[in-house]
Amino acid sequence: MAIPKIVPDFRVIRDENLCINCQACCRVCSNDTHSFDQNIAKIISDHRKCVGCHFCEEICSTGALTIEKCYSQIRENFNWNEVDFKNLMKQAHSGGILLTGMGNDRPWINYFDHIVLNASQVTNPSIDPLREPMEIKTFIGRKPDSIEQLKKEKKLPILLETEIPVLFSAMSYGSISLNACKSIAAAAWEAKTYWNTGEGGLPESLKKFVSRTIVQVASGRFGVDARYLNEASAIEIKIGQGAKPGIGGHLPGEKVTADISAARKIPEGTDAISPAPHHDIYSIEDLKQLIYALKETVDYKKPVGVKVAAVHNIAPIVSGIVRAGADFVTIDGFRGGTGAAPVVIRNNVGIPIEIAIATVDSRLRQEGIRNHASIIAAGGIRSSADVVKAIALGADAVYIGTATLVALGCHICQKCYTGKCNWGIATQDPYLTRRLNPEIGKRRLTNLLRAWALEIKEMMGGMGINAIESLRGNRDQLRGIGLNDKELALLGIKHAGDAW
Amino acid sequence: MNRTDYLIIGNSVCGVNAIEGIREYDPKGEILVLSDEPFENYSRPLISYYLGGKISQQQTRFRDESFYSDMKAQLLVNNPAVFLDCRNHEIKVSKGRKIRYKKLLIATGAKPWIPAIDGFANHLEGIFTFYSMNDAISLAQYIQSLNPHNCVILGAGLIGLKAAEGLLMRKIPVTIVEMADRILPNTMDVKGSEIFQSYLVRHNSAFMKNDTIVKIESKDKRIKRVILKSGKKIETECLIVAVGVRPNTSIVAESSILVKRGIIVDNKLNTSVPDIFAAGDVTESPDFFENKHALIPIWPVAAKTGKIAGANMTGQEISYTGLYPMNSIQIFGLPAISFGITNPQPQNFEILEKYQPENNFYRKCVLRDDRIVGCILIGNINRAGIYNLLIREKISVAAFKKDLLEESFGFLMLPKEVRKHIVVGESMEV
Amino acid sequence: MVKNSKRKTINTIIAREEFCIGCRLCEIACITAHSKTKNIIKAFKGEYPLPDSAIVFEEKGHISFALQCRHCDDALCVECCITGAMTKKDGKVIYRKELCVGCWMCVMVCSFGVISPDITASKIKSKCDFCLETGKPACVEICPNEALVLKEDNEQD
Ligand SMILES: Cc1cc2nc3c(=O)[nH]c(=O)nc-3n(C[C@H](O)[C@H](O)[C@H](O)COP(=O)(O)OP(=O)(O)OC[C@H]3O[C@@H](n4cnc5c(N)ncnc54)[C@H](O)[C@@H]3O)c2cc1C
Ligand code: SF4
Ligand code: SF4
Repeated sequence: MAIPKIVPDFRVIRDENLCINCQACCRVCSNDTHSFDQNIAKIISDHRKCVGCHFCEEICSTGALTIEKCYSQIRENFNWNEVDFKNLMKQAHSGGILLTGMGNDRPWINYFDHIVLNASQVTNPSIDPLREPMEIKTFIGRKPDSIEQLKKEKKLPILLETEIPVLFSAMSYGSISLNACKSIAAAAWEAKTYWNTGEGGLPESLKKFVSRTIVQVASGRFGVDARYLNEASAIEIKIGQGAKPGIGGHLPGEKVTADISAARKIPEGTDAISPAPHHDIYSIEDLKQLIYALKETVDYKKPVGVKVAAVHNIAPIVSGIVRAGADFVTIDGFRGGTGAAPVVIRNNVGIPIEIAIATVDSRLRQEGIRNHASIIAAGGIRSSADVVKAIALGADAVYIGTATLVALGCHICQKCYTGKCNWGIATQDPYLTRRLNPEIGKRRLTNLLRAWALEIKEMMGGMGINAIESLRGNRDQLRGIGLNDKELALLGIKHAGDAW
Repeated sequence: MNRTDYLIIGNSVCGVNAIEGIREYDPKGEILVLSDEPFENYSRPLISYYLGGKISQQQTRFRDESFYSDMKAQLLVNNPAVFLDCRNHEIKVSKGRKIRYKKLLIATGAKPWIPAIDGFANHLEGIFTFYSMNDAISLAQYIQSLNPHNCVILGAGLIGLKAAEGLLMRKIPVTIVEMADRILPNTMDVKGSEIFQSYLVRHNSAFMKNDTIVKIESKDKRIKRVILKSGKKIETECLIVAVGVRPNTSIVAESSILVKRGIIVDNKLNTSVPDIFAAGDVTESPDFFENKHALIPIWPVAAKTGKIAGANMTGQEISYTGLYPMNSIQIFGLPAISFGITNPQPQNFEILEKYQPENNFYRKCVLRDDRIVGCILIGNINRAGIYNLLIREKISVAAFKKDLLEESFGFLMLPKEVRKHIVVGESMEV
Repeated sequence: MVKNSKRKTINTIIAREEFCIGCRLCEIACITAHSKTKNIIKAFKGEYPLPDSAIVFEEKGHISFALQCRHCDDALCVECCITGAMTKKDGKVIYRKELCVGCWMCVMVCSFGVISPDITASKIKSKCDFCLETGKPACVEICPNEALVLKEDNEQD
């Protein structure tokens, strides 16, 4: 078969004045982009193999390498952009569904970038977080309707307590390496927040972090048994994922190593297939049954939540989930990441998380059941500002996935599905997994959370708010820029310039 | 009368290490060192390099000039100890002076052994031993003035070959006479001997094996000819006797200290008499492999036992776990290292070996119960110390036997737990 | 009696094979640190001959690690060196090339096999000096994955 004639995505620019032929790049590239040519005593790079992970560029000790976008331009055409053109070429060659990793990268509007925060001036004082106490501790789970009710029932609600309203989102062992899981779990432990096993089960070596662990029950039921559920801090039923709503998952048998099979509790070498639906859930009632089955199993001692993708009818869906007894609902927006998804689904299905949070929060308030469950927003949180905006729009906390991986080294090359992640994250290849030293990973993630906590407090202080509780759903602190009336209405915010 | 806290007899490697051993634990106590040689400090193995003209006499030092003052140790050269009075803790020095000690270390080393040969007389010119700096200086002077056309060396052990190398570097052809059927009989196995022999022959030396000198003929008080047992006659004006060394135990001869072939010491380097330690070539020390005492006259043993004896003289209780023979030989650019039992009776041992004549590569491992007890490396000595470690730590090699003979042998061939134990220092159940 | 105060806490460079990514930058850093200019580009582009790296790199399949001298407490190489070329200075084992005669006693006894002989030159190829000049071993500084780390060796007694 003829080699596909596709213009490369990247160009490897090697400054010969700086390259000392140490060949570190040749040794580290998992795509065999660089090779040393004995005859000419030079390193040759094959642009077509480069996926733009930038590992070589970062490791090169003389700075001789730059990975650039390949500017080979097809004739400019408004309807035919480069991505669509190349994807079509690839499919004409392979005849298959195109796969990708990470979240939706299309230039859909990002509402976070069209929202600005308020700050106190004269009419109320701002607060200096260095001098005054500032509370960002967050409780996740069903809250009592009133103090009276609490007094009457004489039983404290079952809540997750996190020092920062940022949790690590579900990324399974299998889709990412054990070293990545270790980094995340250890950081969650250190920063007193939570991490989520994803649907890959809980590997034995991470059990020591179990009291900071949310375990998932997904359609494949991997790794699920009574012990798994009872050991965890909370349980999350996974219905959908923002990157591929309505689509299941498939970990090919060759990736089901001994360790992964042990964590997932399936035979080694068998395909790990997560069906698109839960075959026992065809209605809200079925979901309710599962929620209560799990609650029974853990003797009502752990919160049970449900994770869904943000889709068109998200507000009524979440309302149903809350009424079905979920203690928290995770909503994953369409920019949420994945280890593998069809390009066409990832790029075209679902709605933005900002809109989803706002409409869900409004709906639950309207129905008077907002306190029955916490909302955790996921999919596209990149910074502490996104966290503050998400909470002000109505979320209780956020999950970070892609941001977590970027802190661990990920350069969002979107090749997670190939298993050749040069950063040792989305891979099980022993040559590559060693590249992520969990000690470093843990340090970097704890640093990230510390930095965000400081920034969140700064922003809150500026608004004159000293407790994260007072920020939640406080949309008056937000203003839109460049949004139309419908968008503003859905987000429940005013336009910049509109006063009280 | 002089007194000192620590008295050391012998100022070679063992004595020097004892000084360091003492100073590691006792920065103040007085140290006095007696030497019957005239030099402040020299390294015995370097005399062949000196003979060959590779280094000057000054360069035969193995400690810096400031060593004795840095260590606050007083050294008396040309001061042989002549009598030991254990009961009174006293040593008599040649000039009649007495020195009282609190702790004594006997590090008098060894002396070359000269077999009885017809016609041999001390006053004859042209007959040398090759053990001390003085030996090397007189030999060098003799050669310089006489320019002999050849030299006969009796004994093809390490010292004999080192002397041969020195002479060959001075372009003097040598004939080596050896009683055994091969050279380096104690260090090498048959194959190793062969490799070295063919190598040396290419460098202008001749061998007479299974033979020895039975008669020395002289003229004008100078050696003229040697006659071998085989009847062969060799005209020569220069003979070096290098048939081995014997522990230099004369100082304890009249004392109650237990001596067999060497002074017997326990694993703390105590002799049979309290407050008297002995170490180095003069001793028979605990053997590494078997529960017995052994004579191992090599530098590493002298250094290790000297250091431990020094420490124990200050009151430490450090145990010496015993060593085994180990030698590094490089003759005309061919390096070789051997450890332990290299040439055993095969019944109780497993022997692995590999020989590649193209590059003079030879490697042999002698195993007992899956542990290495001996080893020879010729040609490629990279990472030899790892074999030493495997022997010393008695690590089972069952899992990686096939890799032991690889040129690229390294830690990667060891099982992961063992490797991590060594490389990272993680604890391991052994 | 306590040990002489000269024996301070020393640092050892430890190689953790599970994190070594096989890039061999440690060797490049070692060479640079011991070059004339100490500048990676000037050294590699303009210096001849370049010093050897003092690191012994082992690699097989996906496992690799970089070993360097451990500056042992009771260093056998120092004990066994017949010339005093291997010597202890400030707790570090320092090699003085000019004194070395190439007897390979150190090669024979170093348990880590990190002394590589240069047979033709009758000298050691390169000996780790713990980057005494800067005080921070260059290999540890550059290791991108902290596979090489300093371990504090505290007094045992
Ligand atoms: C040419 C040559 C090459 C060698 N090469 C090697 C080699 O490559 N590797 C190796 O491992 N070994 C080698 N050896 C052997 C090694 O040198 C000895 O094992 C080592 O020197 C022993 O040290 P020692 O301190 O116990 O004894 P010695 O070195 O024998 O020193 C004893 C000292 O005590 C002095 N002394 C003796 N009696 C008295 C007294 N009554 N009063 C005062 N002083 C006294 C002696 O004069 C001598 O100076 C070699 C030896 C020779 C001669
Ligand atoms: S060279 Fe080897 S024996 Fe010497 S100090 Fe370094 S690791 Fe120890
Ligand atoms: S090879 Fe050099 S440094 Fe090593 S022991 Fe011999 S003289 Fe000393």
